Amino acid sequence: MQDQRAKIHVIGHSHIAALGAAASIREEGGDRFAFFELQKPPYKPAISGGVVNPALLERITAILESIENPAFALSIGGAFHSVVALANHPSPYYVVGPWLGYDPGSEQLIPFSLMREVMREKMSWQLEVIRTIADVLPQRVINLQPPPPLPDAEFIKESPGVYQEVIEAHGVMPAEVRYTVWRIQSDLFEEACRENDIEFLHAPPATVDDRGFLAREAWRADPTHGNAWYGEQVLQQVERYFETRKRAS
Amino acid sequence: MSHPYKHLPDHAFWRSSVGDVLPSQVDPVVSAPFVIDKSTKIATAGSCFAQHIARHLTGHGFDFLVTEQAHPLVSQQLATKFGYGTFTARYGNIYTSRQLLQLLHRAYGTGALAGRSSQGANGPRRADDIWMGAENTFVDAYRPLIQPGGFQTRAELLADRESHLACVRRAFEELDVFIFTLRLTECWGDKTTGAVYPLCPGVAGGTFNADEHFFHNLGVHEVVADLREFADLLAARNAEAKVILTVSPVPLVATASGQHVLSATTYSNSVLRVAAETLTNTRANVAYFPSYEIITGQFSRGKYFAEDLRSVTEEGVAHVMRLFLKHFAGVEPQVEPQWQAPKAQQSNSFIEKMAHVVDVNCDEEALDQPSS
Repeated sequence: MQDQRAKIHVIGHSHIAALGAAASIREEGGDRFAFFELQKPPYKPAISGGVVNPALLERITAILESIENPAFALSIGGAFHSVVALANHPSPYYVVGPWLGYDPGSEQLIPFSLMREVMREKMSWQLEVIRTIADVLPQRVINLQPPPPLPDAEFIKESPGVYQEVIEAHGVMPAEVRYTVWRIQSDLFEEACRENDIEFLHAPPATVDDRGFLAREAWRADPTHGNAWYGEQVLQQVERYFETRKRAS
Repeated sequence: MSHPYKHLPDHAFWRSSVGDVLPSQVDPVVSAPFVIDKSTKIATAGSCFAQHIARHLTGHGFDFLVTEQAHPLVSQQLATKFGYGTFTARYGNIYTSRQLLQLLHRAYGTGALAGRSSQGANGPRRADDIWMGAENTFVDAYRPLIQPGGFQTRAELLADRESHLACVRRAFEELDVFIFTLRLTECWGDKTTGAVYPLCPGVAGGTFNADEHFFHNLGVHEVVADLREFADLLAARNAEAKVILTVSPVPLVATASGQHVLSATTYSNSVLRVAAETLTNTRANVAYFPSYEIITGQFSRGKYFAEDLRSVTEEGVAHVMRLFLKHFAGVEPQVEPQWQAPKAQQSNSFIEKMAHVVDVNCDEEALDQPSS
């Protein structure tokens, strides 16, 4: 077998771009990481008709057969909270979680427990991908918490990325609501991981501000994703996790 | 020889209108005092049986008024689970005349049943109207089963309640016809304020306390008084509103009256039927529709009840709705209606666009599953 004990395979959607960027500019150790970008062929779509893309499972199986004790980090569909709540909805709504208060105007309240079920329903494909991968991978797999939302609506307006049209039409959702939807999503991911014996790694503390939003150092000209500095913090966190596991075993 | 019965119509005689008639052809509706059409805004409240009525009206293309809609992000399945669109507003099941009257008072903040503070022996006392649910969540005591998982905070519950009561006001002010199914006479309430609940505290949230909570079995005069006051208040807000009363044919799940549940069912149904008749006879804008008689009449030989002898079969509901539509709407439905969701506020195309860029519930059943 090829000796690639240190190789860590990162599987996921757009959030792994920050990790890839960080790995590419490392002077050393960047090649410890291999990335499968699920938004690109042959892994796109990650799931269709409730069936996880066979190309993804075949690639994972091939790694398992060729490498002893490989490590995997997942980041599946983590930007979905932005689809739901980056921009104001045409029918304005708000949801309040136990983390941040919010003073509503005339928006419609979606009670927290209902919003949680809405997100669970809409995230069913991401959760199914995680469950399926967990079945294939017997060990050494972690799931990365998607980066928290940005606190600054003005920054998002200036860097709307692919959301430009909808943000121009409807404006940016209040930060507290964006945070709550992100946190609901994160909790559902964490719950799925717990049920499937997958370790869930929260965003590195240095990347989070005192209210729980993405710290300024981690921003890039983009409303959703972290920058290469953010990616580097996560890479180091992942390396530390697997090193600790290795020593423990 | 002549006598008063000599010239009575067929419907006055058992043999010609029941005994010698095919069960499916039995029609106890003599006349409808007013009619509805597809532009009539119809609001409903009541219990499980009223849910059947709403479902059929929608299925036949009538304008089932829904003033409290789920947000477009919420799927139809989740909306139904959380009590949206089951009735005109998200008030859950309204079993008693007292609950109905109280809802109107609460919506407008009027009267002793508005759920406000009251003067207790030790000073002002709030109504026991927010219960604790599982995992430190909060339950709206006036609609304890509309929010699976409960409300996260008291503030969230109060915000949702305020929005709900605004939808209730809109419903009563916009409706043309209000269909209310009377269900129970037995109720539980708060001793200090007199507020009543749809369920006994402790069944679906809260904690029963014999010092704080009371049981009461409404008498016929009380039900009549409640309904009269309700009709007066409704008329004050909506002078053109008409009311159709029905009595639920579904037997009690349980009784706290001390009687046998069969006797308690007979008492309850008798009181409600008399009260409905009394209102109909004294108010020109109130009609009675005999769904109770259609389901429970001997002619069906019990086949309109399911195996549990409580649930009404779809065949029974279809008989009721066929006669309702015939007499109140002048239509003779030939085919079973297709269930259609109440009109949504708008499609969920927003999420689709963004993504492209990157059974009938009956909370009374809770009594059959006491919490441990």
